[in-house]
Amino acid sequence: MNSAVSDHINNGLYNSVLIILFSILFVGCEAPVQGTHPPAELLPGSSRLSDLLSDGGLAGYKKATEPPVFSFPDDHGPHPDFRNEWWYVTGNLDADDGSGERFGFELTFFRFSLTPGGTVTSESAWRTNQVYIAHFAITDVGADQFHVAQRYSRGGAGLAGATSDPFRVWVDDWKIDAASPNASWRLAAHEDDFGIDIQLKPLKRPVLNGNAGLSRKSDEPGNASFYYSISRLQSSGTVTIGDLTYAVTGLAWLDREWSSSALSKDQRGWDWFALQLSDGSDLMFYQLRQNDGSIDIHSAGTWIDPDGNAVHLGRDDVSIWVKDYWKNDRDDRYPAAWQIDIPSIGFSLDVTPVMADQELTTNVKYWEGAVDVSGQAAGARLAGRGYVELTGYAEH
Amino acid sequence: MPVLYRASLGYLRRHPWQLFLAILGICIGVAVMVAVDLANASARKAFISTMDILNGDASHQIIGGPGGIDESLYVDLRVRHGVRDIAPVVSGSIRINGTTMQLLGVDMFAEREFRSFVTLASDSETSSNTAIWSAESLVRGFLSGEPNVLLSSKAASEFGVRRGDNLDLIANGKKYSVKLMGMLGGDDRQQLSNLVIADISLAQDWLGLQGKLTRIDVKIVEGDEETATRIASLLPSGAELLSAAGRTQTTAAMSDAFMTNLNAMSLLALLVGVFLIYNSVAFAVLQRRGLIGVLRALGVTRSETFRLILGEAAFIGLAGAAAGVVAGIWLGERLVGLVAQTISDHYFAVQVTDVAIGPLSILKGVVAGLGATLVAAAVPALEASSYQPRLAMTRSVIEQRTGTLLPTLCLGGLLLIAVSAGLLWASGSSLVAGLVALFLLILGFAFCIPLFVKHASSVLEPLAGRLGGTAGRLAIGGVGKTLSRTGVAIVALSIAVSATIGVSVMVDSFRDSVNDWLNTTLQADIYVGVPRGSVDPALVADVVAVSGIEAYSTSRRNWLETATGRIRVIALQKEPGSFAGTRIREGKPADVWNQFDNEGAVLVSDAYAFRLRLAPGDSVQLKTGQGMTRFSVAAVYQSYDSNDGAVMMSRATYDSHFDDPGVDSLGLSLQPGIGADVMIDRLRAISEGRQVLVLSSNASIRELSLRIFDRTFVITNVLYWLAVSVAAIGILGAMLALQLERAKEFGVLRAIGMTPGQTGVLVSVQSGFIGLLSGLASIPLGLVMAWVLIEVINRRAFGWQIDFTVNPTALLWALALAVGAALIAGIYPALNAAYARPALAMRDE
Amino acid sequence: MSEDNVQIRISNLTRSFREGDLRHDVLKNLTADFRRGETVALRGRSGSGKSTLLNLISGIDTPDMGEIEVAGMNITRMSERDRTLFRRKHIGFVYQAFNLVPTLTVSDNIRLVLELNGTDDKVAEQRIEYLLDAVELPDRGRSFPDVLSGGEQQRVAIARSVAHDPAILLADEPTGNLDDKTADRVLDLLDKLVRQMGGTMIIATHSAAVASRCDRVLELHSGQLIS
Repeated sequence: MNSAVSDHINNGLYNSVLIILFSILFVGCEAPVQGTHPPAELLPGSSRLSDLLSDGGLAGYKKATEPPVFSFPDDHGPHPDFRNEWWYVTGNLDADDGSGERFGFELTFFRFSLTPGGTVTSESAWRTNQVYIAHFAITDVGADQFHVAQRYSRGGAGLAGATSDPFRVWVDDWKIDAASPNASWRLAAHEDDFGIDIQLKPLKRPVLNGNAGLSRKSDEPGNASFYYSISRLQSSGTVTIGDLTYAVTGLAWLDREWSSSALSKDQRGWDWFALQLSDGSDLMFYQLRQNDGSIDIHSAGTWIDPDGNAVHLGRDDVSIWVKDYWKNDRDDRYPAAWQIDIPSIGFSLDVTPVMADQELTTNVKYWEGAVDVSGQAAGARLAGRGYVELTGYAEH
Repeated sequence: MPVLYRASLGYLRRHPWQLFLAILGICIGVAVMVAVDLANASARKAFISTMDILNGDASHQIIGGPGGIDESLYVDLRVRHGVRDIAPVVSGSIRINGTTMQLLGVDMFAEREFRSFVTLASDSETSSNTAIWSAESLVRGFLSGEPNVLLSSKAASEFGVRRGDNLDLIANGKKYSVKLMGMLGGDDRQQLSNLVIADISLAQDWLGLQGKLTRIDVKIVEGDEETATRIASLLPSGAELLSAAGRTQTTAAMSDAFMTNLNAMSLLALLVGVFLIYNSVAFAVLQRRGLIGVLRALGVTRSETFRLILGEAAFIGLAGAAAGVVAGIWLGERLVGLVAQTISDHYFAVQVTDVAIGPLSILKGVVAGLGATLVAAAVPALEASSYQPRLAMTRSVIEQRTGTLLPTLCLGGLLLIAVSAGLLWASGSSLVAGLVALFLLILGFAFCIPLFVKHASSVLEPLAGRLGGTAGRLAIGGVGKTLSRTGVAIVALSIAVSATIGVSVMVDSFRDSVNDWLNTTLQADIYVGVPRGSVDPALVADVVAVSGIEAYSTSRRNWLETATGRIRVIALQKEPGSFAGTRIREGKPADVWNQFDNEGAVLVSDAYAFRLRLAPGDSVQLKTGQGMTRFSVAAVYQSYDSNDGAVMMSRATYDSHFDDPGVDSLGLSLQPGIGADVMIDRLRAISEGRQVLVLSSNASIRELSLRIFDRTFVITNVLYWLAVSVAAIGILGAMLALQLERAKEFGVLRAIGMTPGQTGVLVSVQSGFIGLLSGLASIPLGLVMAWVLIEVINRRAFGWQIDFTVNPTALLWALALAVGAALIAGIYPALNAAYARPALAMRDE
Repeated sequence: MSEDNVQIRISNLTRSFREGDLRHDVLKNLTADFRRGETVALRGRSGSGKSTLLNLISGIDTPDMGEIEVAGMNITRMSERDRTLFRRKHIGFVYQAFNLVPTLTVSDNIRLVLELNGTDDKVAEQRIEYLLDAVELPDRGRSFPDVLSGGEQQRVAIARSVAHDPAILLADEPTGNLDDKTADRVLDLLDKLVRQMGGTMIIATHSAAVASRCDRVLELHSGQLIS
């Protein structure tokens, strides 16, 4: 998913992301990077937030109501008629030198339209209503280090933006792009003390989540997103930590989602799983949690078989049991180990984070980390790796 | 307090007017100095602090040529090279309600590293730094596409607008209705009141700067040379990375010469004050020669006497300096507006409303006042201590001694003048050396004046005798015979009056030269421009196609900034066959225009030529879009529009080196029979709904230029009037002291039958004669001073070349001023003498 | 006249003045001794050099030639500063024109001399009171000189001249500006005070009456002293 984040953001976290990012930018407190947490007083009070969530700010934006007709590569590009959109890449990488070093990474680009009606322009190339925010994290498993950074920019003047042909999405010098229309993608992002530069080659075709790509988040019409994934991307390139650069290979996952919706107020957060398994299949499932602790009926997922065929999963197809918890310094409790059973496809999986602290201490706090998978598929042993996203746990 | 000092204080108490005048003299001298210093320092400080605030946390800035920087440079730095901590700025002048404001176009996302007053802007009327809501609404407001702006709450209240209100903004000749979205954050600082903040896209559109940035602000941690070097290596030719503080300093330094000149003017007032003090202390000593004799006889040593007189002077100096500091602060508050106005007219925009009372300025004033007093008092104090403790030190002995001193003094004066001339000749282009030479010259002249007075009075005495009998001879001859008392006052008045001659001749010459220059330069009938911006190229094409226009010229004036300061670059497309309204100072007129039009040669202003010692045939290096480029100098031309120096090139030359297609103004020559009114109507019609054109006749531009010129010299006038008033006080003091000295003489005259009227006339004639002599002595000094001001000081300070012209009425005015000041100062002493009761006067010991 | 009793010894004193190109010897090789405790009248026509001699003895003026020893000190070889300090300590002066400091009160005029000699404030206070009593002006201490009559001013001047117990008192026509009766009173006072302190007094005067009150009368004539 990234439906997780998608909903998260749809859900007024769209607003909160903006607000919190901006407030922290502008109040002058540097975005916390690498495990240092921002002072709690910089975060908005929840009452204030909820006021903002209930704004009528959705009028005029295009809404996801009917299953779309996707067209690639066009739909890799931006959809400015919708209020928000993202390109979400996560993956697990191994060092090629046999040292056993392994890394997880996340590079996400969020796009927001500040006003409805698509892009605005004037003679000035700077004129735009598009805002881009990007999150970048690397999990250095061997060193037990989690590196985080964020960027934000207007989607004008070439500072940030997205194009479809050739594909490109970028904020400053963080980017995913293709040198030519059919070339493989390159993902690159660099901070002062960590960075990544890898080629991405799809091993499966894009898979449409939900109802042929229309992913409903509640009963309300239009409260849905357009959502597709490329669940398996062959990745190779380099990861840089400090002065050391590692040649790496592994698998990555792309989530693409755009919408103009907000969630109902009784939804609290979600747990999103994107797992790449040793049998060649991939599993995505998001579980929407309600304020009362129950699981929302709109929780859903997709199982992609080795050939790229998708099987839709509903809430009742999947049961998830939390086996362990982890507390951060601020006493927020996150689930930290799961057992996932999917009787319809015979899966019984144990999912364990490769490192406990993979919380993004960006302005919107969430946990997004690399995980290991072990278990059984119809009696046969199964292993795998993946990414999990947990939102709505950070209270502080 | 020791009885000895009480004896001296008792004297001062008995002659309060003398004490008062001495204190007043030093007070005014110190006040002028402190005021000018405060005004200068305040203007400078205001500018620097404004720049510091505007620059925010930027340590460096990337600047480009006259057309600014291509915005793709910024995008490249960020997106291709991953440079962070940079922020784009598009800025320019705009007008709101007739007030010129600075528009700062920013990118909110980049701003957070730089300007907290932008990122802390809020929706609240009284700015505060709360409101997360405001941060979000700020970005929304800036990127919504609506014409939203931020102002300081001070500016908002001055314009009478509240948040959400609309106001009209004129930029680049067009009017826009904009909305006040919120107030600038942080403390509501004065420095921000001139500022309008908007999104960079709006700023580009309003200012017609699409595709361009005014500059890129850069934040580099101090000492991080690596980053600085890296960024510099990424810049294309035509752009460079400069330290922000250095840029501010360089800009501020442009007004240094102006400030130095003001300081020199203020020192002149103090110098006149020094003579006054000398005068007062010398009188006090003279009048107490008996008392000092008694004290010496009683066993008071020479050094005790010296200390006594000096202590007394120190008291006067301290009192005068203290009063002067207070008066100086008051005066400084009045002068600062004038100083800021001049700086804004000629150098850079600066707004000062408060005088920053710097302890250094005050200390300088006190030290100068006290120091000047002690120096001035040292001579009479030495004189007093040299008195033999003899009780009958007679008047005539002192006069005799003064008389024998005069030739020596005059010789010393001539020597000083020679040193001054040598210094002028040897000091190259140093402004400070020029000013030192000027002061030496004044001192040298001052030393010669007493001898002149002595001879003048002895030559004129017989004449006066024939005209006015014994009384006339007494009045005129008396001046020369009482030089120990009148000499210094005459010198003080002479210097003050000569300063008025020097300054007024300089200003008149300057004004004449500027007027001539304007006549030469303003050749077209109508000038077309837009308020705050450049004329739209399409409109230029349409304007010049209007029927009735015989020929036209265009000009673009822009700044070229370098690490050592900025120069003006003027791109001129002249009327065919015209001489571009330019007067060539050096160069062969026959060849100049061919080189200018066809060979890419440039003309340099005389100021620039003077500073860089350029002559036709030399070349100048300018940073253009192609990097450092060499231009050959075809000629030096006369120009008064910028003392930073100007380089003029043909439009074609300019366009091939700079990417800056704008046109600031068009000069239109009309066909015969076409009236300016008719043409103006046609132009208004054609520009309707496009840009607001400013249409000016050459006469109105000349008038405006001269008005600015006159405004520039207001402060100069104020300063020399203050010097004259100090001198008039000196004359008053001298006349009073003289009458006191001669009370017995007047008593005798009254006793033998002179009427009060006759006595009064006698004193008035004497005062007038003192004024006349001062005036006469001041003329040569004044003229020489004017010459030095024009040929040395102005040239070294501003590089301007001025034709020396003397208007005889200025000299007559100076004479009238001298006589008038002396007569006014003599009124009270004359009355005093007239109503002296002979019996009392005779009895008084 | 015994050697050790000599207070002022003058030998071969010459002092001349220039008037234009002319040199005029006022004192010429003048030699004289003055004993401790004696009062001497100095007579002579105007311009005979009486004031000049007094100025030389007090160290106000310096001779062209010759020596002056006062109380064993050769003042002709002293620096200007030392002569001034010598005068401050050892000489009292009374003038025809009184020469009080007009800006100081009567008390302060006397105090000035005491202060110059470093007298303790308290002692000075008592001394001033004593002296004002002695010159019979006990209630005029706070007055300024210009409100006093000539005789009163001269009595203040006398008080001032003896305030610091000078060894030598020089008086230049002290009664020249006074009427006879006042003059007598002033002279009585001078006499009394000088004899009380045992000092030497030299009075330059035209007056025979004044001269008759002195122990010795010397006549200045052509630059020489004749008894």
